[in-house]
Amino acid sequence: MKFWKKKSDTTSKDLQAGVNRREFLTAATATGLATASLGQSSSKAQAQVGRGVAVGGPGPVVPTEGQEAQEFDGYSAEQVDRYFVKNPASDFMVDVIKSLNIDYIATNPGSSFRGIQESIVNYAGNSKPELLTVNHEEIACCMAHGYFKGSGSEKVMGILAHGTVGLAHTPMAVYNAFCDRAPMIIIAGNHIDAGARTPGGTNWWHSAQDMPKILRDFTKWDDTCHSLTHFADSMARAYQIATTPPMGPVVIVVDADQQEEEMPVRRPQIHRRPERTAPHADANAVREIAQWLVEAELPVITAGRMAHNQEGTDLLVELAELLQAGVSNSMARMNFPNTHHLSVGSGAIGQADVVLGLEVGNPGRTRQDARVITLGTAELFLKTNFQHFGKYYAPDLAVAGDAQATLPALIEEVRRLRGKISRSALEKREDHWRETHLATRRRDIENARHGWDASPVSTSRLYGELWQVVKNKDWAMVSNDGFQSSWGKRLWPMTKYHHFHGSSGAAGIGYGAPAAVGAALAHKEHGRFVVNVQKDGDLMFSPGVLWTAAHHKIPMLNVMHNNRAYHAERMIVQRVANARNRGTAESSRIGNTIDNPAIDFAKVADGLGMWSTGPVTDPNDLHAALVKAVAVVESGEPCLVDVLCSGR
Amino acid sequence: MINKQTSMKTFGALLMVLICVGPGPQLSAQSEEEGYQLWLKYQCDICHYNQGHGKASATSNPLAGTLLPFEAFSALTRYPGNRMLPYSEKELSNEDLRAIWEYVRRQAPSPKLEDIPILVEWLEALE
Repeated sequence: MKFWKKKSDTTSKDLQAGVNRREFLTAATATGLATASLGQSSSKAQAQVGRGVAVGGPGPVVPTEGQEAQEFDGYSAEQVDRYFVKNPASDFMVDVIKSLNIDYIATNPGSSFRGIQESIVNYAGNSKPELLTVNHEEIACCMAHGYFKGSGSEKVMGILAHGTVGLAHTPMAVYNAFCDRAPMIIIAGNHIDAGARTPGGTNWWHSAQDMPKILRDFTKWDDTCHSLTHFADSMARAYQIATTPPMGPVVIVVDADQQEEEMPVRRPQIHRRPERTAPHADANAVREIAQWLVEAELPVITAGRMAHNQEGTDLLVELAELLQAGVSNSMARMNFPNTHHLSVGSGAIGQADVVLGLEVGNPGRTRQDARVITLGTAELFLKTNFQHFGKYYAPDLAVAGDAQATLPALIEEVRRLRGKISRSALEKREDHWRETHLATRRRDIENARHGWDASPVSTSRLYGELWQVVKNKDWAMVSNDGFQSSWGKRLWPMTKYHHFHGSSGAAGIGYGAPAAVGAALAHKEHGRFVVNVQKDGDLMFSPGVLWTAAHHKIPMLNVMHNNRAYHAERMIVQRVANARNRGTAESSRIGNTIDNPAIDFAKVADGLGMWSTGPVTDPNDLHAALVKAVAVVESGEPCLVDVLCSGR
Repeated sequence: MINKQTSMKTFGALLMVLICVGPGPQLSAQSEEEGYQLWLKYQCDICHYNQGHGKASATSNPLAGTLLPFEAFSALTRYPGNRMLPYSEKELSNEDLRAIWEYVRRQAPSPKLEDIPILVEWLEALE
């Protein structure tokens, strides 16, 4: 397929084609401009789109007769219509994407979306959306996942995936996002019309009758678009569905040929992006919840994927303080400051006579006589094949509604009824939970000393040394510390929503590194100092993301938790061998260790264009290495410090 | 594998140790390096780290510098209760177990909390 211009003389046939085309383009442009103008009246977002003018793109060009004659020389009328499109439909598609406030699109290139790709670059100037180059579609989806959480649930990233072969690289990452309730918009190319496919061409392999089927078990919605109107409608609908709790990924399929066709005379409407609202719980149910909480002797709140942003964290603090209720935070989100005197462990749930579960499937082990309330959006999932919902738990009161959205009404109701709680009862609860909180914190700090001087470096020492270099910064920890004995959550004072982003969702390995890079991108605009404690096994799923971070200059401090193994599995297999009384020596290494040869992660990062140092084996060398790394991050670059660590 | 009977055996063994064992047996002639290699061979490092400082669970104590006599150490390995799954004599000989014990009890224990400024800083922030 050739797109270059030839300078030889034109033929009458081609000239005729050019004249017809010019007339068509003129009409299309005039109509399009009128439509865009009408559409601008009621939306700020809308005002930024339309014919590329507002975004600095060149907009449509109406060629002179002489110019067109030159361009089309040597091509048949059919070829001219096919290739020499002056006002391509994909420009319109990019305007639709812009209307949804999508700043980034992560992609590994594919010819089934080349029209959109070219439009993003040459029509939209590669700005809002900007293309992020990734080396694997799983990286793209994990980045989108982390980006959403890093943005405080404000921003959705797009993904451009090649038909079949690109989309088939996404499912694990999409499943994680689905379980973690993180929206993303995946735009997949397809060659819908079999009659238009090249005989024997690769586009047969990159086509499918039902492209989104690959992901349908763990996406909220999908659609395959057959026209530009269809695309504009479905993208707006996709955005709305994806970002309405319970949030989740969506898929839109676009036809490769349609992207490269001429814009129709009547430019389809681009919709306004509506303000999102989350489903609120029923007002009577809210009153009932408040009544139960106020009447409780020792209420406890447990929170899962509850807070969408800082406001959610603040609201939960307000509710907990009104009731002096202990809060057990699963840390799937930063729902509650871990420094607060009401921050307690899951053991508190077993003490409560009333338990309020916010966006949790199962509130945990409760007293036999406890009254349990669940408030959340889990019941609003329409379908699922995968069993992420967990074992059914029968609460005494199940209320459907987004927990954060419902908290203001619940707080108001609790405040109205709070006079029924005696001052002495509130003081007693406060003392009780403060004592519990402080005992846990002291025990955690005491336990951190074990192995402090050991080599390989203990994970508690790792977090201790890291804290020394970030404590005076506006920091964000974008990794989960579950495989590091949760030292981050146990030791670091986490008070802000952006201090911690929770886990992958489905406990799928390979999420960590790319999600951290996506989150770091979101934090970049706020100037936050991003820390990623990176598991070695996880990084080896998609080490290419280090290159993406370097290429796009995403500042972040990556510190390797390099234990040269899928260590949790070593522990598990060792238990099995011991239980079977055989092979207790060595057997847990096979299939689980990442050694012989040991991976030199500093070299890996260096080879991918990232400043790096290590491996650090002596804990006393760690501080100096981290100080150097911090300087790199503060210069606007990512870096990596490889640290040989204890197992967990 | 782990049942009430096993737990009782553990308890009984420990009790016997406390009653009967004095200052402990003579040190083995095996070198520290040999003990370390056995420590790694039997995967002790998975939970207890390379030098035995790991605190594998809320109920366990680090083993580095342990004062446990060999009999108690052995009893905890053979009948660990819920702390871990047992190592039988078939899998781990008494000779190797003794070498492991020799290794781990010679390791320096972790520093005290008050000697670690970072942790002291966190502790003081609680007050």
